[in-house]
Amino acid sequence: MLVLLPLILLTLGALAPLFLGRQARAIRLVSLVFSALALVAAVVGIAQAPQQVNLPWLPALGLSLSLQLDGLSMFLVALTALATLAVVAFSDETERPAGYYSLILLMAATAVGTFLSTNLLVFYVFWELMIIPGYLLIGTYGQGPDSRRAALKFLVYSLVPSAFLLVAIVTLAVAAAPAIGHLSFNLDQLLAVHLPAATQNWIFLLFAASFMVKVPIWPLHAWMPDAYGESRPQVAAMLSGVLSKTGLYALIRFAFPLLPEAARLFAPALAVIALISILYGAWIALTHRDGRMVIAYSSLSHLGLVFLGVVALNALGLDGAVLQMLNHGIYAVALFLLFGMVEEAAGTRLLAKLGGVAGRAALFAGFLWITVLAALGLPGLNGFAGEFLLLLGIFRTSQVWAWIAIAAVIFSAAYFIRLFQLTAQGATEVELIRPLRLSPIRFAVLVPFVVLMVYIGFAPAQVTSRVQPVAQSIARLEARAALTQPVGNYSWEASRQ
Amino acid sequence: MNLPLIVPPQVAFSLISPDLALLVTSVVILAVALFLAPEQGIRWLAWLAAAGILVAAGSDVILLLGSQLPATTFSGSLVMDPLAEVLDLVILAAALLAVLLAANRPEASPDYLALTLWSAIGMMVLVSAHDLIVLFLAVEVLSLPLYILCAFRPDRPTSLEAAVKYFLLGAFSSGFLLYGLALLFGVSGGTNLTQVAAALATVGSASLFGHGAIGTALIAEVGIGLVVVGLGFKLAAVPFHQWVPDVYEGAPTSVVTFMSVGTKVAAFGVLARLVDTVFVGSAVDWQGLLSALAVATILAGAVLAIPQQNFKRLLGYSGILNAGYLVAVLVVGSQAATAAGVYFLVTYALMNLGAFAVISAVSGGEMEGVMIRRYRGLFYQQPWTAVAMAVFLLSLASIPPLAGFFGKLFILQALISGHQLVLALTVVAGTAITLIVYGRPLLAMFSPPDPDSPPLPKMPMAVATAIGCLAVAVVAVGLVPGAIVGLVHGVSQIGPLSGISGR
Amino acid sequence: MLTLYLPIVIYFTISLLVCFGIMGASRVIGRPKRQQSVAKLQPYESGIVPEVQLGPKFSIKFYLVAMLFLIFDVEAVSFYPWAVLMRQLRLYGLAEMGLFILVLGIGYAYVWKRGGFQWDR
Repeated sequence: MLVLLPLILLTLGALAPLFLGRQARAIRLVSLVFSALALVAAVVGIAQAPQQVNLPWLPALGLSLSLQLDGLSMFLVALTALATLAVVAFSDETERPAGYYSLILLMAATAVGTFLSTNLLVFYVFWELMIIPGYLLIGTYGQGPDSRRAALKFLVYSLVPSAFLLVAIVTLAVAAAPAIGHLSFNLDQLLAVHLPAATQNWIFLLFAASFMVKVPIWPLHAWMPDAYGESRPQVAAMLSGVLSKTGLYALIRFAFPLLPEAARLFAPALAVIALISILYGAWIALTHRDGRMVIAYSSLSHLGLVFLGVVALNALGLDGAVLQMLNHGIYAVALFLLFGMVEEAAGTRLLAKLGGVAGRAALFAGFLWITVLAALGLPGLNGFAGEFLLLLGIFRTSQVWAWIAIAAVIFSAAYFIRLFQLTAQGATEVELIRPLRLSPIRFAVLVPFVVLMVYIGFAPAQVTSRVQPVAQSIARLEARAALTQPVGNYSWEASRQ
Repeated sequence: MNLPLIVPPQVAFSLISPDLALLVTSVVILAVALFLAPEQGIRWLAWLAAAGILVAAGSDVILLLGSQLPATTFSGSLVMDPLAEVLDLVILAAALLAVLLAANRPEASPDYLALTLWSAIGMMVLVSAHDLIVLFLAVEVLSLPLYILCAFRPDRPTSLEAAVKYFLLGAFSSGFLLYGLALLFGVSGGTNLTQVAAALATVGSASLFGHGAIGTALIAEVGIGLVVVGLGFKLAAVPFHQWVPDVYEGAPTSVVTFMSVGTKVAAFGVLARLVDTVFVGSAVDWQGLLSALAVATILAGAVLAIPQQNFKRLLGYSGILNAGYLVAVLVVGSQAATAAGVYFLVTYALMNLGAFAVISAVSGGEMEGVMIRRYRGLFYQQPWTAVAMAVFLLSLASIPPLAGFFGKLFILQALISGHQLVLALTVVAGTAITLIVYGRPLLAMFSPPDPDSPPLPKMPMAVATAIGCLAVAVVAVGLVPGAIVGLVHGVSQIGPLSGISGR
Repeated sequence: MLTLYLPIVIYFTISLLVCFGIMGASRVIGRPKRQQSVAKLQPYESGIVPEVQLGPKFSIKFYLVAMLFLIFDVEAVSFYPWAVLMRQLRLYGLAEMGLFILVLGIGYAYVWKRGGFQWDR
């Protein structure tokens, strides 16, 4: 039941605004309360994990509502609840509040669903459902002139691969059915089946394409600049802080363990893609004139590093990947929200026109400074711990990959310090349309972010020790695959009965 | 004069009680209308029609739950089995909604109600048809009233255009169908499907240069092809779909609501029966024919739907697309696949009827009201209508966990299990494209409202109830798909014809 | 079996050949296009140029009456088989026919009530 609680709370929170009409304050308060409750439930869940529920849904199709809270998922669930709380606290929608808060919480609920499900079909349900609030939030609560186009781009990039993902999932289940004895989408049962390499390969490609779009990883990132740029900073925080994690998580949870041989086959190619992502993102982030785009492309680079850690296919890399996903979620949400406040106050997000915020709002600049330090990987803050572990894992698989990745880490210091300097310091004093003041609620929400940055920085083992068992079992699956005989052949050719 | 002894056919009236209920209701409506002034009492007649439909549905359910099925009547030319009864229920639901939607509209008249009921009878007979002549008669009985119904807004040129277009193409397709049926009769020497199936099982494979009974095999192949063409018109499969967008745009919304579901159900039912009884056992290559039809229908329907600005046209193309899914699943040719198709059809009926009901309510009978731009800001004017419409559209786009998703899932599972991977990929390609199609009205509904647009018409209570019920059904069927899986499982277990055709 | 239809195929082929042959021949033998006058392209009506639009208007009532006549007249065909077999079918046939006439009668009355037979409406 504890597993379901965050999901239920966020879903209720998403439904509640529909009954409150146009009362913006009440709706915001209700959303805050529900996301705070979800956060509490998730934190309790971390203490009580691992846990799982199995409710039959549609037995004829091997469909059961299987949700699991383990080392892999529990931190991401908590991160989602925390990010939602922060996003709601930093939102101030009065025109059309019901739709806005409802969609934010719906997005969070579906993301939690993807993190928890251990049935492929249930996962797909949440995965697909997650796209709708994203589409509507970008399209109807956009900021830029091209928000509809950005929304369409997001929709196309998300939906086309995920439509084919369904074929991959069903084929996987049908191919594995003879070995299991009946049609099943349950991860536990599917993990025991060793499919032939030819079948694995194309299923893996469909899986990977769909998951990599959501992260995003170059070259599937084309929707990202539009979606992050045209939407509100709060929505961008949700997309970058939470949604991007679902893609990486699905790779770790489903694609790699279910299709180990294909993963091994494609790993070098994926590593190249990851490295391009890292360098490309870093390069754009270093030169972009738009502050929010700097954060967006830094995410592309940082998540590319996480992806590389996953592709390294060892327990250390996976451990580091989960830790860094959590870290990235924490500082990316904080960065988008804090910079979003600057944008709103200054009326622009061009770095050339900003500057001198530190002189106007010292407390605010302090929060921004700590977040930037965490993001660029200062030892003692959370970003460093994750990157270190990731690089260690990558180093074990390939030294070349690791050296190239380390280069990107140095870049990351450069662009984040540039971002901070051009925003908070410098000779040019920005004209503020509105005062940059942290309301008590926003302050209260930011405190746990900073605490987490420091705490995880000093005690990353609190996270990694819980992730480790899961990471090791996944890494073992990769190693074991070669030893067993494949069963359940599935061919493309139509056979007539 | 020496006449052969004619034995009156044994008719089990209980088996055709749903059809009889509709027939009696329609005649009573006309008889009652004799004593009413033309403009008076339409509402009562609409309720009478609704009651008749409910009685028919009730006797349908009794049949479905009872132990009589499967059974044949009228000397084996009508077969009553779970497949037919489930599809009958869907047809009756469509007819009920059409009557409710029309109750407050200019098109409402005794003729309208009677014609709708007659068309429904034709559809119900068609899904039970087990004889070539009955099949053709049923197609005509369902089509002729629809031609007239399309013209029920004579004040609009588009309505008349729709009627003429539908009539001409429909009559044309009837010719194809009749020719195909005649060829099948020529091959088999009998009109009962059992006889046709037996004859087709023995003809050699159709090759123009092979040995053996070339002529017979060729005739059988051409006959099957022509029958598929004729039914393809009714099903709105590409390339026989040209009438769909214009008819959907021009005809009164209540009529479109009825025929978009009813004709599709009836055509699918008869095609599924033909596949199951006749095609599967024959040596003719029907799978290639249906595969090509399905791929063309899915891709063309999806792509052509993208630029549509008129909601009814958009749903017309979406109907074409969904017809493609139905044809695709029939290619597999197994009873499980037929059951998947029936499940999909049931879910499609729920969401399509719902979408048309919302269109009818929002447009208030105005031509301008069916444009997508009219839906801007609907969420902020009628939040629950918008939520219901969002549910229907998302379900049509097969977003989980709504009803449409499971329909699509069963189809995919049937196709993949039947090793029809190309068709499976086509189906999801179509799905991916339509998500973009349905995304546009969805975005419009949640966008800020247009300050210039006129206020929305008030929704009649019956229509609001119908929309609510359908939306709840779409969500509930999605959350608890097992609820109607049992029903459909019955279809697949007993199968359309096992124990009757001897197959 | 198909050989039975061979004469028909030959017949169709010949008629098609004749059609296209005549049209093609007139193109070949006739004058080139630029020498044709407008008058030559007009339909030939005994040498008189047509003055009115072809297809004169006539009242829609004819269609209506014709259609109603057709419906109720063709229905009468159903009586003949019954009349021939009346003794064998007994009460069943009588009841069947009675129902048939009842339905037909209601339809007739309905058309009457709606003014379908009024000539000068």
